[in-house]
Order: sequence, then structure tokens, then C-alpha cells
Amino acid sequence: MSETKGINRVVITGLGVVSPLGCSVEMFWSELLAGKSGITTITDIDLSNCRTRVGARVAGYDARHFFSARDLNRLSLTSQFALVAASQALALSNLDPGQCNPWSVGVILGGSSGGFVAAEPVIESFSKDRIITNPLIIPTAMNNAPASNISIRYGFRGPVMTIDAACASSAHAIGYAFKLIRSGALPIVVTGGVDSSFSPAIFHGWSSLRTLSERNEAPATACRPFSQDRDGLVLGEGAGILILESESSAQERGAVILAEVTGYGATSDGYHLTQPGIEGISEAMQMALVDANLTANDIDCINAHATATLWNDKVETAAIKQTFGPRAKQIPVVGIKGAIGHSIAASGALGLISAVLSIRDSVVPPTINLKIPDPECDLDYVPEGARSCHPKHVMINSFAFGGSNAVLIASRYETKKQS
Amino acid sequence: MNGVVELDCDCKRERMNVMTREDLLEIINSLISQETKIPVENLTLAASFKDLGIDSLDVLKLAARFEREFNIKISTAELQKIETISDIVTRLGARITN
Repeated sequence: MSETKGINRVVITGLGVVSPLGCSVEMFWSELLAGKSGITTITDIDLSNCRTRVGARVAGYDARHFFSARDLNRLSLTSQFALVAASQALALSNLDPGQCNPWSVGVILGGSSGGFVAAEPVIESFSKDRIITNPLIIPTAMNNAPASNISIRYGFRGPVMTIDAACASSAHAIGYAFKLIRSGALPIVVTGGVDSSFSPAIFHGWSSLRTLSERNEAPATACRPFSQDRDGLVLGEGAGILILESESSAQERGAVILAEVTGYGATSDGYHLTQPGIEGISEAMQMALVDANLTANDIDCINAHATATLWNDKVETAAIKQTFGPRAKQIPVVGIKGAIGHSIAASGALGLISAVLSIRDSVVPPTINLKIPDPECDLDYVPEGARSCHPKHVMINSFAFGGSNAVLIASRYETKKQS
Repeated sequence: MNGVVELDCDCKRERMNVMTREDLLEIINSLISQETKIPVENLTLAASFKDLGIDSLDVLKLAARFEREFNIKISTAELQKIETISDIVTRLGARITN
């Protein structure tokens, strides 16, 4: 490889998706563009005592189609999702693990709740009987297991780790991978995120924070980003995996370059565990612009965090206005969680994948379920349906409980960078 | 948990009293298969765990299952010496059938 310290361009050559809209990139994308919702009534965990009974579970997934009974012995649901999405991303990238230097490929994922979910049945049973029903609960349920399982399956021996910044985990993981490649430390990283929140205690825990939509009677329209009648987020799950690599690595392999990652900004609010703050978010956007050597005038589209909580959507809108000034109202701002729910640690990766596909296909997906304008959310959220446009630079926002903010910028790949 | 060995305690004791080495092997292989998902027909007495694809994590699952099913204790030192199904029969057989 011919990486040079400090100046490598970082390109995206592979994508993989396991989502409530389907278990392939193209299914996810076509359903997203069609304005479909993956949110349904949850029936496979006991929520009879819960205010919320709607969620966005992964659709069309049959573990037996991908894994042997022996594999499943030690793969949590999130490890399975990550492996399935990684296999798609590696195939699209045409990256043959047997043909590359194993030390040159890292695996850096975001993960947050999936471990709790995997551990919960064992803990529940232990609390009753004082017996560990699965002796492998620690290596199976640990939050870094999905990344490690990718590394083990494909023999990748660069750094393997998992970043936990709650809902911003995968955006930070991708940002870190981007920095490693750009600096010349590593040519290829399998990155992204995976998560699930579907266990009784975790789901009830979210509900007790009064952050979840309680629109149980209308699952498909329960999550309403930026709409005045929004009443909270809807929990989702899934995996979004990307192959990031240096431009020279992609060129040497003859890989098709889908887009380029050009900027990453990261800040914290530093004042509250659950309430977002305008300054921290705006500063992260500004940092990402500077990192990408762009200005506010260069951004053509924003893939918003847009959880559909009262606070997030108005604070995010205010932060966009603070960052972009009067131009904010001219930028399409899309929120895809109305369709796929909030997949927590996977959400940033799925947002970036959506942005890459917008760049590839010159179209942005709609923000669904936005029927009643909110005076505090007064930007162009693309509520009418998918819209043709030709974005060159897309900003992807990802914010988290704990006050962690991550902003990525994906750009159309052009052979010679224009100044 | 994956399946439950189809022996209740009284029945198990009764069978243990008249258990032959073949009976014991059948039960052990059944438990190994349940825990590892390796078909019983592939489990031969002399084959090493390595050849069978049984790794250290599988051995931990097997130890927990044997301890629970047979109400025995397997020390960590003892566990480290078990490398074949034959080792299980030799080292644990007397305790399992007593």
C-alpha cells in the first residue's frame, strides 16, 4: 500500500445493512425512498405492562439462513447482525480477506445496548436460581463481541475495538476509522455499528425515561421527526457496516469507490446526561466542516439525528440554524428514524449509508410522518416524499445521551480534489 | 439453554446403578452434542477435541453442563486435562455413575 502519513483521502467501497426495512442495502434504500415504515407492534417480548408497545425490529431476518446451530451457540443477536452486514459490505467492496495483508485491516464498530440485551435472560435466570445458564455469557454478550467476531471470521488482524457513545457510537467509530486511515496508520477498516434494545428490561428502561412514542395504535406513523405532534422516539435495531479505505488502497485493488469521507467533528455538551445542547452540536458541525476543508455554503444536504423527541428535534434545528445561518432553510434536512426507528449505536452508520446512497443515486429520502409543522422546527425536512437532488457534500448528525456529539461529512468522490 | 437431557433425577439414579460404559458414553455424547451442536455420530471415543473442533469455550460449556446434570464438581485443574471424550469417561465416569 502507498499510504502517506497525514494526507490520505478516505473512500467508501463497501456497504452492508441489516435493518427494519430489510436485510440488504438495496432493500433498505428502496423502502426508505418509498417512504415505508419498518415500525410495528412488538409481540415477541412481554410489553403488556409497558406504556410503549411499538418498535422497529429487523425485518426479513432468519438466523438459520446465515448461521449453523453451532455458530449460533456463541453469537448474540448483534454479533449476527454485524456479521451479516459485514459479509454484504466485503462482497460489495470486492475485498477478499484471503488476498489482503491481514494486519492491514482493522475492525472498529459502535455498540451500546446489544450486550445488555444478550445478557438479560441469563441475569434474570441467575437472579432466581443462582445458576449461570450460559457459561459463555461474558464473551457472547460483551459489547465488543460483534467487532471481534468479524475479525475472527475473516482473519483481520489490525486493531479491533468497539466504541460506546450510546446513540452516537457508530458515528464516532467511523470518525475514528477515518482518522486512522487519513493519518496513514491503517489502509482499511471495517467500520459502522450494530445494536438492539429489544429485551424486556432495556425496553422498559427506555420507556421509564419517557422518551418513547406511546402511539401504540398507529405503529407505522408513531415516529414523527420534526412534526409538532411528535411524542418520542421509537426503538429500533440493526447493523450498518462500511468498508473505509485509503484512496490508494482502493485504486490498487480496483475497487469501485462509492463516496468519500471528508470530515469528522466530535464534541460533548458537558452539562446533562440526557438533554442535548445547541452549542455542543453546532460546534461539532463546525469542526466537521473545518476538518473537511469546507464551509457552510458547501453542504447540500443534512442527514439529521432527528429522533422525534421534543428536545432533540428543536435543539438540532436551532444548532443547524446557528451553524448555517440564513442558508439553513435552503438545505434539505432528512430524518430517517420515522422509517427505521432509533437503532442507537447503529443509527449513525445507517445515516451515513443513506447519505452515500443519496450521493450515488442523486436522490434524498423523505422525512416521513411530518404532517404538522412546528414553529421551532422550520427547515426544509423533505416531508413530501423522496426528492431528486445532486448532493456533493452531505452532513450526517449523530448525538447521544451523555452529551456526545458526532458529525460526519460524506462527499461525492472525484478523482482530483477541487480546491 | 439448548435442550434438556431427558432424564429426571430418580430415573437417572436408577439407570446409573446399572449403567454400563456404553450407557455412560451414550449420555456423555448426547450432552456433548446438545452443547456443541456436533452430530453424535461424529463423536468418537478417541478423537481429540481439537480434531472434533471442540475448543476451550466448548469445554467450559460442557463442564457446566456435566456439573449441573450429574451434581458433581470439576476442578479447573482437572478441566485443563480433558482433551478427548475418553478423558471424560476416565476422569469423570466414576463420579458420574456413583
